[in-house]
Amino acid sequence: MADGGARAIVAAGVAGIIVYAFPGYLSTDSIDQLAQARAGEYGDWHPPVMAALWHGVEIVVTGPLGMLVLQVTCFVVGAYLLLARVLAPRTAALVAVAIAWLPPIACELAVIWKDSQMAGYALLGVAFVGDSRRGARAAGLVLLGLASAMRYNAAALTLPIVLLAYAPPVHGARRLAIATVMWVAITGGAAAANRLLADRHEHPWQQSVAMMDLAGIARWSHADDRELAAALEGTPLRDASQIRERAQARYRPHWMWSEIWDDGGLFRPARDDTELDAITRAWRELVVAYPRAYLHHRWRMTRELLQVPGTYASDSAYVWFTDVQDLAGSARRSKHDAAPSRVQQLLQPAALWLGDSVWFAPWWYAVLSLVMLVFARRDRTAFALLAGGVLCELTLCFAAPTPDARYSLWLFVATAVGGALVVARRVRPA
Amino acid sequence: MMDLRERANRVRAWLAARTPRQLLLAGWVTCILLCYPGYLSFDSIEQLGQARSGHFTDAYAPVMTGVWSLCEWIFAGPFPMLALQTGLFVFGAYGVLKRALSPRAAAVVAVGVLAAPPVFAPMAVIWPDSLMAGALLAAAAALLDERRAMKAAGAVALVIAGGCRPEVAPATIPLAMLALPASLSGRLRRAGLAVALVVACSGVARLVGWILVDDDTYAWQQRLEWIDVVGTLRRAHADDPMPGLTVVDRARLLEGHDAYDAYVLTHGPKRVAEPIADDAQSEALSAAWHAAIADHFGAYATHRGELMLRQLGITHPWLPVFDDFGDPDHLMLLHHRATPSDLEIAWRAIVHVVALTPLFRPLLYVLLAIPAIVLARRRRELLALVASGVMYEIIQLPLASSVDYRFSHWLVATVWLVLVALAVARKPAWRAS
Repeated sequence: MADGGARAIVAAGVAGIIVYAFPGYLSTDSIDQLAQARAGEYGDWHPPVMAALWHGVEIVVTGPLGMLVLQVTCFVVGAYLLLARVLAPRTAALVAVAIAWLPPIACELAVIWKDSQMAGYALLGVAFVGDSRRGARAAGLVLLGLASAMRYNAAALTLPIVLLAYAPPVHGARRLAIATVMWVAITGGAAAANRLLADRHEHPWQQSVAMMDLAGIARWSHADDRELAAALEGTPLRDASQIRERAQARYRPHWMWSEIWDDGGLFRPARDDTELDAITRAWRELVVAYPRAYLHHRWRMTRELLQVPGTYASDSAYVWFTDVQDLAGSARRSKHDAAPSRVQQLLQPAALWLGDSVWFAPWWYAVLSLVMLVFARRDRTAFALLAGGVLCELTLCFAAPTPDARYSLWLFVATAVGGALVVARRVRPA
Repeated sequence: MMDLRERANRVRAWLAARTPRQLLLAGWVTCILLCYPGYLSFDSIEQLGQARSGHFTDAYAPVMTGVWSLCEWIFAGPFPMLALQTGLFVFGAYGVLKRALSPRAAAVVAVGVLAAPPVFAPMAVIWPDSLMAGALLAAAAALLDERRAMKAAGAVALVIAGGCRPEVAPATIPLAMLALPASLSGRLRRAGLAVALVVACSGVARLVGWILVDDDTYAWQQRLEWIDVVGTLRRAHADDPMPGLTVVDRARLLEGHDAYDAYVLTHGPKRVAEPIADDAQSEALSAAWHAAIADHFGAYATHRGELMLRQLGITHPWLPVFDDFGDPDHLMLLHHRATPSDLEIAWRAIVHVVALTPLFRPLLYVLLAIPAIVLARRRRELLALVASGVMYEIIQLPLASSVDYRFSHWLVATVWLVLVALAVARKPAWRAS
């Protein structure tokens, strides 16, 4: 892989993040997935492939550590392999570690999340798909498939990567055709794997994004209560009266879960297929009837997601070993608990402080990516990374249930690695 | 397409291309995974509590608690100690064995011996005995090195070992002799220098322990002297007024005919006496101990002999394997909880099966130590190891404070290392060049 010095730097880079995160931070989602991994029964709210992978990892090591080592190692090694194409091994290792230790990246990699898993596999996959060896390219596609299975919007990041960076030994239209087939295969394969593994369907779109969109449309449309009540008939409305007034009073784009989870919210979770169908129907009807209200709501959400100045933007770093909403209870349920080391006790407040800073604001990574796309037009890998980051973020404009910095992890990664490739090529032309 | 033989050859070639360091690392990580994040007994949990709070007592080896406290800077919980004690063991064993074996063979033997269930079982638990074994091997390897810095590191390892179990001091003399250059003549001179080094390291360990301890509970003294006093008096059927000590129930003092657990004698509703709490009581207990030995030496010798027979696994076989992550309620305040992986569950089953065999009886290793000493007589590093193991076992005769397999672990580990190394060295290609 590298000369001794580079290898040691990469190992130190991995170890550094593991020291910060050991044995791995767990949120509500992570605890749910750990429970599913242990039970061997998967729901589709979170990617079943990740829970199944965790189940496999738990054969060797229990708790979050195995997944933490996987995602961090894949990430740092992937970043190193990519950068080693244009930089000397030692420099590439140093830059890769510096990227991995960037607060918005390290803080997200420290948590066992689908986003972090996706970033790790995707980055190593990018490094492999451009390799001249057939085996490495195949491994790269498998890794990109694994990344695809981790998040519903991963197809947006794998598309430019496979189309541009995948390097079979043919050129021109044939290469593009093969790459397209490969992308369809890994995307379809990932979806099929998730579908096959899921033991129960939890309808995440209807139970989150769709209802939040309905609440947003109710807030921003000019529809009166009668029209809204008619459109929302059959949906799990808590109270069919004063819909617009309540939607206006409670609308909080930085935390739309309150529309579903709180007693005062417009909706409660759907309980049966009839309600789920009603949500789908109401969403279609209202989006078509009030497209401006829908787009305005999504724009408000996107502003929060990008943390543009003037928005709520906070709590982007997560530093708890069990579910922060119920630390003791989740420790008991998951039969897992951990205490911070003294180094972690120093780093955690720093991470939380940085989490509220501009370091974690995706908007300027998005701007930077768009600018660098221009300079990356002659470097397929860098262009693919940057384009993937922007595309992935664009999908969130319409699909993010609520703003969360981790959703933008790939944008951070793509900007940092893609940017480093662009700069390195300019400093040291091939 | 490659056929199976070709594939197997490729795998073999790949394995052959691994360096000793890679083999050691892989073996070390595998051994850690077999018991990750490390087993915790009641004592280990209490010690972790002290390491974290910074309030040290002498109930648990304060030097070890200090090391644990330092480890907690980087990783919290038992994992860093597990990594430390197994790492010292495997890399220390490699450092010694590479003098007798080729580097690859030494690496494989070091990992193999650590994974051997009779050696592995105590190493998986965060105990002073496990850290001591690792520190002693690391000390031996470092003292064998010609570099001055390594010799200093060896002395530090001896301090840690002595801090874990103060009674190990005499058993470190053979290891200390490894530090002396071969050119140094005169057996007495060599022995004198080795003793001086051991005395210095033990003194430093004692001093560090004294500095670290906030509350003196006279733990070491109580563990040893209460069982000796009560065990001797019971065997001699003799009462003793024991001035200065609080005997709760004089009738119970002479009930039964042995005493092997100081905690039971001084705690709970069936206790015989109250634990000592100050210097005056400490002196009174020492006086009672001296008096019991002087007045009833035969009974004392029988008591210690019977304890040793139990320790060797001759008269009362016991369960020698401890593999628990600790009581969740006890650990709740320390925020540590773990569950075993499938790999660990399978490995536990294997260890438990092996524990049913004589391989977990220290007597076997006392017997095997004899041929080991004879066969290793020309290899000073191996001879030093097995001599140290035997001496530590002999020390148990007057100083063992209860019956526990882990007290014989150093003997077991050294006999395994030496015999396996000697067996491997029979093949010329695997010998050190």
